[in-house]
Amino acid sequence: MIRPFILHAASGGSSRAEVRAEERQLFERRMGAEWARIARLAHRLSGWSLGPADADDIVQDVFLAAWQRRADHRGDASWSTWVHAIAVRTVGRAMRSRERRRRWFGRLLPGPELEAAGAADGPAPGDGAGAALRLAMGRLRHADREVLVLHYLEGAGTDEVAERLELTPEALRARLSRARRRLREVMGPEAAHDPARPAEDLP
Amino acid sequence: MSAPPDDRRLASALDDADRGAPAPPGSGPPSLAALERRGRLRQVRRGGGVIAIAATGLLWAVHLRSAAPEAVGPRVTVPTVSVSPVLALASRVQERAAEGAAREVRDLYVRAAGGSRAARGDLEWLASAYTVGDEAALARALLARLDAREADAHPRDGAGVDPTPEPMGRPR
Repeated sequence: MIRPFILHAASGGSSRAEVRAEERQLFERRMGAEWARIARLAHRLSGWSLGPADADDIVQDVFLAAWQRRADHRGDASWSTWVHAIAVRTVGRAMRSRERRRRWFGRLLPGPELEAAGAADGPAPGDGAGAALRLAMGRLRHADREVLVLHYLEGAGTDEVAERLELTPEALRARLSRARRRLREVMGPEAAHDPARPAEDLP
Repeated sequence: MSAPPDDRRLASALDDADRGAPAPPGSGPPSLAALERRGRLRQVRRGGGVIAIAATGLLWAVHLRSAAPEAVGPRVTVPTVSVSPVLALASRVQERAAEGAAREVRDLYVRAAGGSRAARGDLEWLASAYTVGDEAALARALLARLDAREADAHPRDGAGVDPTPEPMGRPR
């Protein structure tokens, strides 16, 4: 089997330089095809709170890591899935670092409302239930938001999310339940149509 | 197995919220060379930062040792090292990082001025990347200079150009 990025010079009779150029071209093609999807995933995982600088930073880090670790990609996962997993880890690290900064220097940084609204350099979030839900998602801890995004927005099954986050399925279900509860709490009692509230709780 | 009703409700609400969200910000994909260059710049900067932090730690330890030798631990012979060369080294590493980065940006400018579209693309990407601070500012300045050079070479808006159209061919 030819591994996706380790192309052997012997297989095509090409020189090492040609193989390397081919490898780079292949990576650039794949990066171009996946860029928008990974940017959207990072945006969702951040609670739609990334400014252009952070968004560029994170997506570039994802692809730089993918290029540097290309030899680790095994043929049993699609390249797209593999990069998705790198993105989840990279965004997780960036968001946890942001949470730490907020804990340490909280008073000096913009609050989650401002960040989620993209007040610094993005468009306004708008009004309505969607904007309220985005704001609430932006206020959650990353660990809670991550499972909600992967399961509900990215459409991954619980087993898949558990595997991606290296959790047992039971731990994942517990985390999902906690995330839904926290989302309910963040949205507050005034949210009459709180989507995270179980149907039986509704009047 | 179908999802429970409140699960579906949450999925649908999140989906609506996502559709109503602004598009992800940021620029498009750079070339792989630009991506690698950014990785190198960050590594060099991080290396300079680590040395600066280590030097500050050393300075602090020496200060503690001289201020209250008993409080720091068993008495050992502290070599008489002046910390100023260490701090000078840290500062030099930072300077070298900045010089190296600036050199890379200038090299891109020279190649772009020589007509390399790839170099110009990398310079534009670097100018739009907010993460590399001084390099981004330098790239923007050099890009502006490049634009000015190109404007001089190919004047627009008819400045200095004969507005008479080229003849389309011999009339029949």
